[in-house]
Amino acid sequence: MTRRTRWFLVGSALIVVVGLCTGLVAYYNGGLSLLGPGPGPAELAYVPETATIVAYANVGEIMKSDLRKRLQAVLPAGQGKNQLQSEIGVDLEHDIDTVVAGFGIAATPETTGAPETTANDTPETTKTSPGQNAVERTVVLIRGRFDQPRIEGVLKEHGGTVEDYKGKHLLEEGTGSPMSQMGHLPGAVAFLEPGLIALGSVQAVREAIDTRSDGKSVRKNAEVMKFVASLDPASNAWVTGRLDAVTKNANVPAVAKERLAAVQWISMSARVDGGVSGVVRAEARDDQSGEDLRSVVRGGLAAARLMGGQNAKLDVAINSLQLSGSGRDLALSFTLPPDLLDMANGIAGLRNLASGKH
Amino acid sequence: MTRPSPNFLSASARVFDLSLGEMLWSRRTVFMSLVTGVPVLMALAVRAADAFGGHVRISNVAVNGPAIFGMMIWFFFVRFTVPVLAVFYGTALIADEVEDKTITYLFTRPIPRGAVLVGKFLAYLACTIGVVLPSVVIVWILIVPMGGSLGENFLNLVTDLCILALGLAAYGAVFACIGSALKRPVIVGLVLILGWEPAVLAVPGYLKRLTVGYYVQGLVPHAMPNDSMLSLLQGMVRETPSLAESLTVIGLITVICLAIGARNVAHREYVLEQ
Repeated sequence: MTRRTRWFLVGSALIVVVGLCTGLVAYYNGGLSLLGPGPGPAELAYVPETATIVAYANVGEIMKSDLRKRLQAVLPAGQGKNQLQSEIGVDLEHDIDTVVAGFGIAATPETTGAPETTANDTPETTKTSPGQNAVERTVVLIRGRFDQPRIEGVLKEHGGTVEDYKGKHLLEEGTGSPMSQMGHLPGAVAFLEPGLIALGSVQAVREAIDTRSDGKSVRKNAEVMKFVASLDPASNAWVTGRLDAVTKNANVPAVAKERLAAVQWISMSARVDGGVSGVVRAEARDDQSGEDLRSVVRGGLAAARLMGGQNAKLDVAINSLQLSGSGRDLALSFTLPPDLLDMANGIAGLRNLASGKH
Repeated sequence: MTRPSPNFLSASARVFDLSLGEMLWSRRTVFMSLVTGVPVLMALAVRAADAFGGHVRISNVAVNGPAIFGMMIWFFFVRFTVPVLAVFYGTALIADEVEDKTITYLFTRPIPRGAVLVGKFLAYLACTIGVVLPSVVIVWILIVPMGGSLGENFLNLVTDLCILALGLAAYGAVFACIGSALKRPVIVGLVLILGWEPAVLAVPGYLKRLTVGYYVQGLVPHAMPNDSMLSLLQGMVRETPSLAESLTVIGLITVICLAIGARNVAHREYVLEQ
């Protein structure tokens, strides 16, 4: 063996060994992730660690998108929207920038297996069902421009009360509020930062404030953050969460529970501009379930493509479906072109005409 | 005093030593560098684009590093590099010696004839593995951190490296066997990898078990890309053999083909064209 042949083999082996050692170190350290602020919006600092579903929407971008303008003709006129603007001065189109929501469904007794808890801290102590618990543990964080005195004034007019909770202005609904009448905890609004409010039940909003102060936010939840980190940074709407936490809920039909049993985590991110493009990701229970899931999706895609060819616009959407993933993971990317949405727009317009709506 | 003839293993080792340098610094290496260098260049370009704020988009949808790496493993390595390198190197193991009329010199040595094929096959393995695996590792390091974690994808890398090495061995043995038996083995090899294998893998039934690709592709941990109608059909009728079945059959293909090839070399009379 000549010297240069030997050097070549040594160099080649060295590259492989260095790569494998790097991977091995990363494997045992849980990844050589770059230091710095975590992924996702800053509002996640208010979402509790127990949240199993997190959603985000850049409302400002979506409202300004061409898609929204195209669909405006078929969207409802929005009487509620006008009422909201006249009462509290919030224009949904221009005053809202982003919305982040955290759902704490995992904390329900049914999903944790813990004995059924009661909603404490309130005089209306009642046993909560999983559905109620989900609503009561949901916090919605809205960033935008708000007229605080006006909102406070309106709530007070409706019997609401204002209190200071850990230095934040917390406005609670009155006992006669629609939420209370439905058996839920009363709703609340908190002004967390300039331009950032939290909405939810009193318990959920207080929990959000506590989360920020004690630092036990969803950012500490490695499983959720793994999905948040994998989302397309260019997307302006996404949702990610534990699917099994949802399917264990008693309100989910048995058929759906059975079909979705293999899927543990799911996330969907979308970029809304002229059209809609996005990725749906799922993580199965194990490698076999992952392979089965990919086979099912692959079969569906093949069937859709084989049956395609009748509508060019629809074919573009079908051909945009791309499956990827390995092991337990599955990712399906899609694109709905503007032309296809125009078609949907036209159909909806025709229906409106037929039903006499304008 | 005469030296005793070397046994089969040491004879193979000597042929390996002799052939490795020849194989590595031949004109084929230029082709091999191109085949394995393109994915590295692409990975560099993708990484550079990512550093400047660009995102790789497939059908207008951004995809992350692990997904891109999975697609590159399928497109560049499993479906192209491994079979193509095996055809060009495997079929040439004996055919080149015949064409260059140098096989006589090897056969006049006091070594078993079959050891010539085995030694050359080992040289082919060292040569191709030495080029393909570093290329995969470089692509992995460049691509996976884009929205993915090296730690989480480490086991996939190890699996990919093993699959590629096994694929090079199995395909190489098949084409070495063909090269030892036929006069124009490259054409037959190309028909096999570009015609027979893709077509049969897209047909339902047991016929796909008569391909090497069925067992090699069954081990790939990444989702099969659905880039064309043929890929879709392959994906739709795809059956994944168990790990044990795949490894056993790949091992059997390699050993049996090498044994047949060695037997061919030992018994066949090669007529050199004047």
